[in-house]
Amino acid sequence: MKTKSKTKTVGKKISRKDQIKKAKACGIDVSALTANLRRTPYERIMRHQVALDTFLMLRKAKRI
Amino acid sequence: MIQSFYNLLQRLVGENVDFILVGGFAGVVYGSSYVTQDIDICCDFSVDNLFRLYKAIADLQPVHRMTPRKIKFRLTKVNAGQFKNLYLDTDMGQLDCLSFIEGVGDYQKVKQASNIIKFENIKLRVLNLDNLIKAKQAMNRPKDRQIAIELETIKKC
Repeated sequence: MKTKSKTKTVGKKISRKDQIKKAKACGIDVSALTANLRRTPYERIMRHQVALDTFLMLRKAKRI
Repeated sequence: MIQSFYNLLQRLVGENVDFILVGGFAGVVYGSSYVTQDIDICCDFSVDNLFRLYKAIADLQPVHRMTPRKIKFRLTKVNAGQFKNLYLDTDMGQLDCLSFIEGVGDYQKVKQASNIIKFENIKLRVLNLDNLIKAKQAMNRPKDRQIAIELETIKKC
């Protein structure tokens, strides 16, 4: 008597190690991410604001 | 007036605007290191909610930033039902109000896929990380693909 195969096709799950490897290969600064994850959401927003303000200031800056 | 996304969000919350934070700034909340120049929200485009939104930002000189002449954003009973999306620039930064999020769905779907996150003195609905990744993947622009990889990494960390 034949039995049905119990093998299921499962979506490819990527391990933490492989994900970090992939991120690094894409140029993502994983240490910046882990540092961010130690902060509260409010601290992340405030740090983002500082970065954005600096970016906007530099964009407005004129060459002398 | 000092540009501050947090103050802009405080205003929206203060006027009881029904919205969910989505896009790059939602990524920042979860720990993304990318700097974004606008706030994207998915909001209820009902007339009442749009008037609450308008009240929250009316004194910030809001303009339609996608129009060549930066037309002033004025909400009236006549035009309130005509908007599907609003791409605004205000004194506190750019604010994009969207009625549909690619990869997630309309306002109700986005709301179901959101978490309430508490900040210093406000509580915000933010699209959850899994659906934020889906939304970024659905956009399929190089920048969004990169952010999706970053968010996937955050999920694993």
